[in-house]
Amino acid sequence: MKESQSNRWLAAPAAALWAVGVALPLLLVLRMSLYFRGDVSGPRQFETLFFEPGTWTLANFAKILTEPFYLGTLSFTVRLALTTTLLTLTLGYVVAYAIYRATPVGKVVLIVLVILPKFTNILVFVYGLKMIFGPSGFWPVVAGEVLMLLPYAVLTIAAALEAVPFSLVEAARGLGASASQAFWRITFPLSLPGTIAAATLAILWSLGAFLSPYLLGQPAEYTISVEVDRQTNHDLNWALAAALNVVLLGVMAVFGYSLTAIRRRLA
Amino acid sequence: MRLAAYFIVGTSLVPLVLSLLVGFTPSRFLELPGNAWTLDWYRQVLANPVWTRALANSFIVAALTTAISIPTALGAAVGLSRGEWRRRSLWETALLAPLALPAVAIAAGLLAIVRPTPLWGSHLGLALAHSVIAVPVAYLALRASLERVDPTLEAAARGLGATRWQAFQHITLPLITPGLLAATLFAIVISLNEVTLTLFLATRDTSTLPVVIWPHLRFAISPQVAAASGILFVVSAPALAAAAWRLVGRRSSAKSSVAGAR
Repeated sequence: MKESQSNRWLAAPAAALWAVGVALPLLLVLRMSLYFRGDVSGPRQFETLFFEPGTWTLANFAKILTEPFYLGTLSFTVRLALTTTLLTLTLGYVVAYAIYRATPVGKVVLIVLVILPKFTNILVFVYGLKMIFGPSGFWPVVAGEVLMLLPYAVLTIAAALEAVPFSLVEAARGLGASASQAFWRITFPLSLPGTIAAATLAILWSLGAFLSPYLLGQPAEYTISVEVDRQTNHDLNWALAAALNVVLLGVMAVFGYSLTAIRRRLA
Repeated sequence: MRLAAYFIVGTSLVPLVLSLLVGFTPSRFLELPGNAWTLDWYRQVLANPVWTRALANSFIVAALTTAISIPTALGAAVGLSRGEWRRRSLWETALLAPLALPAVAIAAGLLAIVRPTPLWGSHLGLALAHSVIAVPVAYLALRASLERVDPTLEAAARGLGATRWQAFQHITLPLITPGLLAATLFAIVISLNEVTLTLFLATRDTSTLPVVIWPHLRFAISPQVAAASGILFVVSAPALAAAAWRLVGRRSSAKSSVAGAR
């Protein structure tokens, strides 16, 4: 066996973990979404899996796509994701641009401050947000989500900006362009692919928003992910939870695919 | 622009500072400590077996996660970068997929898989779940490190009679030590702070600190929770310090090597 071929076997443990920890759970979710709800009463309650094995039905999807409650949750999830993404990108771009133009020391200071939240628990932030906002609602949820996503957006956009030579801007200025003209004609278009990559990450993650809607929102701010948790761990309807997961993955696929297509066209 | 950036970053850190300060308040309510500061809430947390058990669980699971995910990610990084693959980028995308997938989807599927097995209610089961998301991040750190190692160095060692393992052990491994350290750091921090998967998969005996904090945040908020969060912060802080030090260190050493070249 050639060495470069036997090297491939080094990836076997990762492949095994991936098969059991990523592929199998997703396939199981897909299959569970087509089960009938299981019997959750009686003494067997704590030993069973909460679906009826061997059955096939589309009832769970019908329920999600017809009942106003689930449709409302779905549209709220998308609305929250769009608001969060827009805000994250705007704030992230400002910080990333400051990193791009900063002195070497300034760069390090800003980057460390930006990634600090990623080395602490999000629950610490949630606690502080609860103190600031008091009663829960839409904007506390958005604030929590933006805080979680900002570091990734800043680092992705900053990486894109670093690849834009500032001499291009200086050349444009030398030829008579104003500062804002130079930015909008040179810097911004060149950083756009990276910004769209950041947007893709932000929208995918905020569609899956779970922690901040749950902890900072009222039931009106519950997302699909929160509903998955409620159906899995409280209402014990794993089939419906799985169907909600499939719908969520479908929505994520649509957004992810279109943004990737846009980025390909620009690049 | 710079002012706006510092304002945004500063504002984003206010919740952290607030919740850390409240842990020292003498009041029973969520009030900032004025003139009087107290460690009572921290003492209460560290004296309560529910919290100390959770802290111990957090450490056990983080250690197991590191032990599982670092060798796994190292194997994947070496295998993918030094092996012969027809569609390398496709495999890599698959490996990184857990980072984009919603945690509740993986969690719900894992729950149905793990629940009928002996892994249910074990630290190992939780650590394996944490490894699912720690491996891709550790892989990224290791890949970045491996890319900077010239493969001809290993080839030279082989030409001089070293076995493959000797060449890896004496040439490549020392060169990727910074990447290994970073990957280990990430694995520990990810495991300590993981909430969603743990919420689905932990039982009463294996609940980690974030999962024990969770219901308190939803229902009864007391400064005790701020103290518990503070402990979680202190536990992760050395990792941040190490990361910051590396970032600063690398830049200044790059600068001094440039100065030396002149």
